[in-house]
Amino acid sequence: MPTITINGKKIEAPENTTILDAARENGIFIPTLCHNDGLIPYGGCRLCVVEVTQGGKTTVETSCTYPAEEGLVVKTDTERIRRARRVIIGLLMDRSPKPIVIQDLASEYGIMDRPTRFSIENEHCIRCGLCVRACREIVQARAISFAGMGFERKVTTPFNESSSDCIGCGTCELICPTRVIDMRDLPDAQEHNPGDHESIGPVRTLDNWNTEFKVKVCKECGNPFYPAQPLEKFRQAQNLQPEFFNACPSCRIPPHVDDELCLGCGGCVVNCPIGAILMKEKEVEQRSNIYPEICTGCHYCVDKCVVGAIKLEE
Amino acid sequence: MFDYDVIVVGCGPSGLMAVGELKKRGVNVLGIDMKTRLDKNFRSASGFFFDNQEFNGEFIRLEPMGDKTRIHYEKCGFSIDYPAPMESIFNTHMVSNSVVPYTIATTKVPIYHTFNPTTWLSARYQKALEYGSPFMTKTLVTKVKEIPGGVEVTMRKDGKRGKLTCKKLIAADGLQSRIAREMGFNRMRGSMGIGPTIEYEMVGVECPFPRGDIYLFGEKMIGQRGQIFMVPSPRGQDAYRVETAAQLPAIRNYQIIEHFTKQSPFAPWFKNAKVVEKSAAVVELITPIKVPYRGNIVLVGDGPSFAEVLYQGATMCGYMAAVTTEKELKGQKGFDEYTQWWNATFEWNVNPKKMGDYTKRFLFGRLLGTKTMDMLFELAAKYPLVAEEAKAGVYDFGAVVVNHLVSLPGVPPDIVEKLKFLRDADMGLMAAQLAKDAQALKK
Repeated sequence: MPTITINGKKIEAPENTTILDAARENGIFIPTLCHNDGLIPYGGCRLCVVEVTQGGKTTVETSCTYPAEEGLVVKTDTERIRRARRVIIGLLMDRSPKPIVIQDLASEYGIMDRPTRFSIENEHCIRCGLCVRACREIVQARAISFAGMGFERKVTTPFNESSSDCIGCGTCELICPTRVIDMRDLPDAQEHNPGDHESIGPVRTLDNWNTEFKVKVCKECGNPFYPAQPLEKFRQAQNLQPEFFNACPSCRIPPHVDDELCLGCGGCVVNCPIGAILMKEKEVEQRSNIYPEICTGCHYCVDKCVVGAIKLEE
Repeated sequence: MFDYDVIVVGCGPSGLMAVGELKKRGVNVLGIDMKTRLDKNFRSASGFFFDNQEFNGEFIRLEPMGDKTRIHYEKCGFSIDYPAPMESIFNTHMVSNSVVPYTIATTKVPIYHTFNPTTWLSARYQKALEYGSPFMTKTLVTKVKEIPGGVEVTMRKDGKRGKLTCKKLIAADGLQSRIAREMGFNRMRGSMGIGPTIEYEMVGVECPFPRGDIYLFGEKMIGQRGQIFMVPSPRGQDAYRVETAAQLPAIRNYQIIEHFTKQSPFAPWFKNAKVVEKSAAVVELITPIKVPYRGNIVLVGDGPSFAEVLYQGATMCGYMAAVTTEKELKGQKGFDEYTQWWNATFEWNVNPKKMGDYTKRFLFGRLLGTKTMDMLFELAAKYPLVAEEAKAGVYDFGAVVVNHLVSLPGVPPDIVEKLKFLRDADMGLMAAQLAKDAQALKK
């Protein structure tokens, strides 16, 4: 375990960690914008810069990508670092002054009323790349990426067209620090044609990526709960039965087996998508036994039972 | 390094055969099953045995030996004992709404023999125990994973997880095999629908027809769309197994069998009858897997097959899997040999059209309507089928019946055409025709 010094405090950092991880682990705050624990470090926003002294030489480095090596001396809050961060935040303020995360940082570093050198562009996206990386690393859909260069750089789908790779999961909307991604769930959408319109049921739209998804309706309660496309993708990846995602999370209650009716034929055991049903002994016979802690409540077994022994209510 | 040389998942007729046969050859083997006991049949099974004829690429000869029967598999080259005599069945009946039976009968060679699946299983289980095979019951295998040189098996017992490793794995976990699904084999297979079934084994049935299996269809008797099979049971001359076939939801099967035995015109048959045993199953018609192995895992029995291999086929699969797995353990290409045997033996593998032929016998009523069938059956009663040459096996049964019905005098030409269509159609044509009929009905 390498030992490093952060702000005069000796810290034993675990193997293969970064300075940022070691600092946060020990309660030392370093501001970040493009960092997320679930993603590979990116070093895009440069807000996490720290002073690193190694072998008598002091440099300014991004702590999210710098590995914690033996004997490092790190300072996170010197005047040099504060000056560097003020420049970064100032540039972000010039381009995107509206997002609350940027305003908070600006007021903390005292540059809210700083005279600007450029005309304010008032754009929300700060190019942190969190949405692009989440789509690639977590969802593995690769629906969006950066396009263009310099100040024209922006996040978009290929050729700005509606992307067929997007599965409508909403991870990009959830992870975006500036709330620029516009995802809406419409309870009852309508398709307008000249002189005519028809209802197409619940829909999820992602305006930034020009995509629109039909939302699955729960078989039990009739409420829309999630886009059908990602559910289908997860289902195929896990080799589950077609009916697995028919019910919404709140309707997923484990059923129970009526011992008097059950024949012990095992039809439910082989049909259970995740193996939550096992057999138990009853004298010389056997009976099905649903383990409620494993059961996901898909109710696939209910209409497969020949004698109706699997019931939803007591 | 590995816990076992071979793990057999699923101990039905093929799994028990494979475990016993491997242990006899000195292989370190383990049998895993979800059931609580292995010497009893819980899932409803057909219980008939086609012998003395070429069936599924095998010629089976029965040798009665007093209170037991020796079964010789002539082509695979092995014999097993069944510890009870087997009853010969000479008749097979079909009944539509008019209650006039359509009978095919033979006098010299029986159409098939009946047996008790529980007796069969317990004989195989005892044999496997004699060789000292270990078993693990109440255990569900949830996942298999290939690791270098072997297979890792994840299982669940009493709600807890466990892991075992082996060099080769035989998956004999039956129709709707979890292992076949987990490994992604089923993605390329075409499913023709799920059909649950329930079976009552009854004694004291007063059936007026000559002893044989009876296939009944028609809404009048059943109360709704569905079919009933009555197969003679070895429990006595008045014992029958009453089975249903209907579509989802499965509870319909229960309604059908209760209606049939209590309210239908056939209820007097069951006035003094007693239910001895109840069992059920969920059957899926799904196209077979052509190469039933990957890496160190081989699929045998019902799992990779079309519909069913029957007990006789499953035993054959278990034996061949044991022989070829032993070769595979020695470094030879055993699984390739198994695949060759698999594709050259079962009729639906040799000729895919047979899959359609198998389902045709259940489609008379649906395609022609019960009224037409009543008319045809009444006509056929006057001109019964000379049955000596009619080999009514599982797969050519439909064609045999159609040939007879077409040859009857006075059948209207449009019905002759429909019957010939049924005889010659493959699955695709048939599905299209049924869909068309269903649409016409709706209008």
